[in-house]
Amino acid sequence: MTQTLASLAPAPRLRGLAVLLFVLALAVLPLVLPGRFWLHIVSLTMIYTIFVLGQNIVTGWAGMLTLGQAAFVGMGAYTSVILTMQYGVPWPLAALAAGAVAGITGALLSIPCLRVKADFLSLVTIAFNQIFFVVANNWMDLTRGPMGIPGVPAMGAFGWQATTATQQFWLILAVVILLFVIVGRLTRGPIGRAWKMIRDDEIAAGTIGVNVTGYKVLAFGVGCFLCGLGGSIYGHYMRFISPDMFKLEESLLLMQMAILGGLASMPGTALGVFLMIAIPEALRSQEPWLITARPGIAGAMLVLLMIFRPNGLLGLGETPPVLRKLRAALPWGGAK
Amino acid sequence: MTLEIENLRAGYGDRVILDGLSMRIDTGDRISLIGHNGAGKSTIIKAITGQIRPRSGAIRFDGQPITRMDTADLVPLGIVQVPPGRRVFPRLSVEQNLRMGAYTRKDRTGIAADIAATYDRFPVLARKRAHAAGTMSGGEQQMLAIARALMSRPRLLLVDEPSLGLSPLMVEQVFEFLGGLKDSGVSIVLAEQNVRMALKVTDRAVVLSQGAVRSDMSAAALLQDAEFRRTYLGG
Repeated sequence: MTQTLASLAPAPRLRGLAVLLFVLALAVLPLVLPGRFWLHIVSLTMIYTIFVLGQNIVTGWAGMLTLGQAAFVGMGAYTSVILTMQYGVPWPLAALAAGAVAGITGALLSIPCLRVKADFLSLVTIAFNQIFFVVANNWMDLTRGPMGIPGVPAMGAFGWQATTATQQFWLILAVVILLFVIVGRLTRGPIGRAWKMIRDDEIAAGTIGVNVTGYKVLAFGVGCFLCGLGGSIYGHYMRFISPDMFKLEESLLLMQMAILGGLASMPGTALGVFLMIAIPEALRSQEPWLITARPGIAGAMLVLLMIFRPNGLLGLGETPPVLRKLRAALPWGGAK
Repeated sequence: MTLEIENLRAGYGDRVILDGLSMRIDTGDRISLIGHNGAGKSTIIKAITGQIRPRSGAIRFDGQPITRMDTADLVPLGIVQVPPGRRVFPRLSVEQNLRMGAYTRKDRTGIAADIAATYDRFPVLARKRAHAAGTMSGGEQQMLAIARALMSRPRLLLVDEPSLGLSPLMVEQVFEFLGGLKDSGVSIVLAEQNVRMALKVTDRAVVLSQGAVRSDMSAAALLQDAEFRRTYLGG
């Protein structure tokens, strides 16, 4: 409805066109990319985008620092894998169940957390991640513990399975586009407005009639739903899951990507994942140290960001100075 | 509109601030809460708006008990608070802040009309309607915070320390702004350190002492009271 001052910059039509071109370019990637390896990197990047979108709803839009999202990814992955393998549930249903289990758990976990101060919320979510890991690692009957669950069926429905890398790529792309559209509508609508008000000033939001606790719980629920749903895709894409895929380090990575790319920004979400997943993975064979050094590099980048762009590269609807200059220089994009 | 507070006991932790306080607010009342630091001015506002849970006693709005209701749920009933320390949404424009004030309303045309009326009444906000609220002066932000609270069409407006952190000139402006609400019919309860200013824009003064109402009279009568002048106005 209303436009924020800072986001007056991108002319909406131009922006829509850019997004469309970007999606089209992504869609034809499997036809032009030279091999499975590159396709895998883009697929993995898209899956992580779902996780970081979930993180960004809680942290970017609603302003709560949660450091345990990997646990919800794992919860979704295990839910979906166990449902499909042991109970023969079709994958789409299992994926929705994965989102629901993670989302409901997240919402329930947040209720007692919201009574404590914001700093403690981070601690509680860290603790939850650790508990999830210990449980997944030791509940042998259900999860096979550290051995993990191999032979996970591929994604698919109604007798069809996405077995080739290209089919998986397109399926993931379709889900990601759908989720971006839904989250875009959600965050621009009344719910998103309430989240942003709470983030900017919780007390002020309460005094004008925003149900602060309710919307915080909702943010947790939606964010964890996305992580759980993404976890299902992750598990059925990797065809194997084990507890150490969902450790605390993974949560920290998700948080770093959300902040690095840009809080409360969908392009920022994608950018953060691109920088932290696509680039190190692509260089894995030539520059293997990049993966090892990733937390350190990310940490250094975050320190620099805190100084120069506290809301991330594309955060909170602010246009980075570089892009602003670039846009001003374009003949058609002159509008501020 | 009637707000009745009956035998209210409230405080923080072990500390009792309000100890058996009773008072009544009617339509169109404009009340200053007077008292030294810690006398319970802000505590009354926090108790009414559900930000602290009273230990005992009752608060009724038009006969309906509201003692344990949340701040947000009181807004649709018509009770709105302007918290201390400005608290506008700094990244949003003046106009967007006003719009957010109407968060609980659905009537688009009414909201647009109220925004226009706000601009008519307070030209300073009209001039800065497209500015980000965070870029305005402290006084302007405080005025915006009050105007935003009015956007929900409250029947009772609770203003907590509007002069907090403002320079004397800005305090002057903010109180002129508050005085401008006289003909709007909204009841006002003002908790303010600056007694002189507070009494200029209100008609009734409730003096608090030892957690209860010590005197309740017209602002004009209180200003004549010798003891009051000695204690609060320095002679």
